[in-house]
Amino acid sequence: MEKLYDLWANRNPEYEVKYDDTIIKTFCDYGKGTTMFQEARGKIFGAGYEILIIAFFIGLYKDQRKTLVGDSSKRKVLGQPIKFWGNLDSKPGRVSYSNIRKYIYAALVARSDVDFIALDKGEITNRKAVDILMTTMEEYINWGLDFIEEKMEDNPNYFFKDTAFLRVFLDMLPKHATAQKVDYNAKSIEDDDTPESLD
Amino acid sequence: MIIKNILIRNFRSYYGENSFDFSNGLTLIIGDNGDGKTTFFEALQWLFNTTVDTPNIENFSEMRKSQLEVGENDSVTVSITFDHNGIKTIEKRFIVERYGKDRYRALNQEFRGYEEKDSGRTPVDGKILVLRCFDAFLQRFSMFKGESDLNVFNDSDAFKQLVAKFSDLKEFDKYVSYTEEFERKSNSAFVKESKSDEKISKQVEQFDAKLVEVRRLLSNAEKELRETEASANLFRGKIEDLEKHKETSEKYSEIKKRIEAKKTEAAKYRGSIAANNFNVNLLDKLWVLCVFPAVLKEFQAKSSAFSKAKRTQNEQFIKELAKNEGKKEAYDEITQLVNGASRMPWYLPGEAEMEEMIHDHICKVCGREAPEGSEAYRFMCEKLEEHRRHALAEAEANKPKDQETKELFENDYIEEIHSLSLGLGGFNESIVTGKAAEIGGCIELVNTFKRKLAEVERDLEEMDEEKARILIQAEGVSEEMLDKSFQDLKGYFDQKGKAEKRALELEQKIHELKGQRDYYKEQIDALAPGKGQVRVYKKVHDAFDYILRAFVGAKDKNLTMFLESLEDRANDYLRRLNANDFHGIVKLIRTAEDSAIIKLYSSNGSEIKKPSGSQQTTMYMSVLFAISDLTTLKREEDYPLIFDAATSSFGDAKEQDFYNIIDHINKQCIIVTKDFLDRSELRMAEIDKLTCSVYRIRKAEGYNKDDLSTIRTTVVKVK
Repeated sequence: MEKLYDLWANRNPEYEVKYDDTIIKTFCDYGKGTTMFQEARGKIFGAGYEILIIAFFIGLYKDQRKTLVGDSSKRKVLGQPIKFWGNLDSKPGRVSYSNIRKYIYAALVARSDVDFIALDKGEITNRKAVDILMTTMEEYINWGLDFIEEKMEDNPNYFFKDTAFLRVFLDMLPKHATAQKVDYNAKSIEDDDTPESLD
Repeated sequence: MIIKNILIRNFRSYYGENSFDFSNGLTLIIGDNGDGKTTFFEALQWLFNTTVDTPNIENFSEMRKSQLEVGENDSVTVSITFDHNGIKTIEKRFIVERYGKDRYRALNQEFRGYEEKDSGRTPVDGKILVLRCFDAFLQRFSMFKGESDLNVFNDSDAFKQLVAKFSDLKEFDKYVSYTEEFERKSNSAFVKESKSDEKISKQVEQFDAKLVEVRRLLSNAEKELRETEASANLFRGKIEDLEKHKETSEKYSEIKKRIEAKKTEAAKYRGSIAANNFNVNLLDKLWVLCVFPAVLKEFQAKSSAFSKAKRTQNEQFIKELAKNEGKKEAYDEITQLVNGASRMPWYLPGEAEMEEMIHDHICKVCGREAPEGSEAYRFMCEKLEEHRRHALAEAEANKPKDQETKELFENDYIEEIHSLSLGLGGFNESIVTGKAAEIGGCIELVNTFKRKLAEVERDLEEMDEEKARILIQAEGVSEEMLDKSFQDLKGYFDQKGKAEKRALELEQKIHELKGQRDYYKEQIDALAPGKGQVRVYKKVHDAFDYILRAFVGAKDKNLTMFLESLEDRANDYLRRLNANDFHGIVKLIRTAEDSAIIKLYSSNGSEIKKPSGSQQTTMYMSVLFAISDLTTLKREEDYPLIFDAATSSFGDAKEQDFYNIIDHINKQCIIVTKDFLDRSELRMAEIDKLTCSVYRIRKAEGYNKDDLSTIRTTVVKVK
């Protein structure tokens, strides 16, 4: 019996084509061959899936989903299935973070309506179960991408700061968490306007 | 030469006619920055420059220029009236004409001269008058712009030229060269004549040959000594130049080292900051999981709930299954008891016994024979078959029960997620829950780095400023030169050392050669010629030799006296100019070429190698005053000393002492200065104490700061 995790990891989440130009290519090296790597300098992230991971966690933590557009021609997938996500060893200055996959999977199981009793009894197929997990994943990602795009519409430079993405997450921390006590808005870290809270 | 009047007309900021009258003593011309002090000085330099004949329109007053209508013209004139064996005037002028809108031309530069004679004013060639009364050499010893100009003996020939120009010593040169000639001729006549004298001819020839050789060697050695001294002087000068910058150079290298160290520190902090890319850390360091603990709890709860539900259902299912199995077995047992109460169990007799009975054709249970084909034999065979069927069935029945049991769950996906849940718990969970604190710590650390970087960058800025200040103080010396200074200095010291050593050797050698020369001369002198004629020649030569020695000795003595006298006077001035300050002692050191260099010594005999700016200035001025004094005495002819901003290194107290002294010096002296000014206002109380004439030059009110054509210098005689 093939593991459900492996069946899921062989998949590739869909996202809406419109985010290619506004987000994926803005923040990632996506769409550039390795020989053009030099030109990709200044991008915040590397592979295209990295911004999808960020978007996913934004959707997840805010527990906000957004159904993808119905027209399949307006949806697409990236080249690398989930099982390769986080394998960054070859990239200078970066380290592998393949463990992230387990956490994404765990979050999907926690937040998806899959009847594992029925699945183990064989009453629903594993394919059906993975479909449900993937839908959750895609909808979280979709909401996250929408969030990023909205922020950038308000302020095109919003995410082009040392700490911009990190702040989005720190703002979602429970109030008692340690990092909240740190003055990450200090002038020495950032020179101008502070991103607004997600709340 | 005593200047009576200077007139400046339309020369740069001097718009219109501006006249200065001068007394025989001190005249101060006081002005602030931009008031026209240097222009005054340069107007004189322009006037005395006989080498350029073409007019330069840039010397024309911008204000006057702006007023010229097309077709109009005006002149630029600088003239000086002075007493030099009678009143004379030198005037230099040219015309500027406007010949179109924005079109001007300068033409007709003229050098005019006038001499007042009994017959009246007679025109003469201005250029010739300059060359006669105030040539370039005199200008060099009388006009000084800034303090750096004052070192008149920088040029190794300067002193020699000075002596030649202003003392009677040069008269000796003529006599020395005449008597040398006489001595030489009389000597050769004697040598020639002595050849005929058998008594001494051989010895004369021998000694004379030696003497010629020694003289040749001596002349070579003296020539080499002059060259070596010149070379040592050259390196001495270079070393002095470099030593001026030595301190700067040291400061500069030191600050450069500090800047390098700070830059390394800054790079370290920048590296540490860059290594903490907050956005990338979201992924690489899994910071994105900082909010994850709640989700993990949900996942753990869900997977453990599924696991528990699955186990519960499974247990229920097994129980049901076990119950049904038990019922069947009981039923089978009951039906067997009812149907065959008298029957032997199927397993008696055993399979082996039965096979034995069939083989032996006898029933060993009842003891009857059972031949093959009989009823009894067939019964035994059937009984064996039945036994075998039962044994097979029994073996089937003994197989494990779950093999034949139907399962409730056919998949283990719940176990998979439960195992993942357990894997993410414990130690791994503590890592995730610690993410928020890790981020906080990292941000704090980076903030610390950034604060430190900011401090280092501030330090660097200050050091850069310090470096810039050092470079400014080095007065235009390039950074490369400061870098090079140390290496060069060492090289120059080596060269100077070698030259000085060689000079000592040569001096020794010259001394020896002179001894030899005198010895051979004495030898020749000691010879007693046999012939009367030769004796006469010898006496003639002896006489010329005495005369020569007398002149050479007198020349030398006079030069030494001249130097000593100059030195005495210079020290007298130095003492007076530094009445209330340390001044040291000026020494004029004679060089091989009969020139001299100025050095300052402490009274304990040690040389002051790095005199302060004001010490140096008063030292040079003292020598200049002394030269001027001596020349006045010798030639009964004075010439003025004109200084532009020569006292800029003086402090206030020094400045007062200086003017009080110089006010009473019997010498025409014109000092252009910004002393005696307090926020552009004259300090009249101090000026009133002086007896000299004072002019105030200043920019006329109401000028436009950006427009040169609105600026004019006004000249007011204060006293």
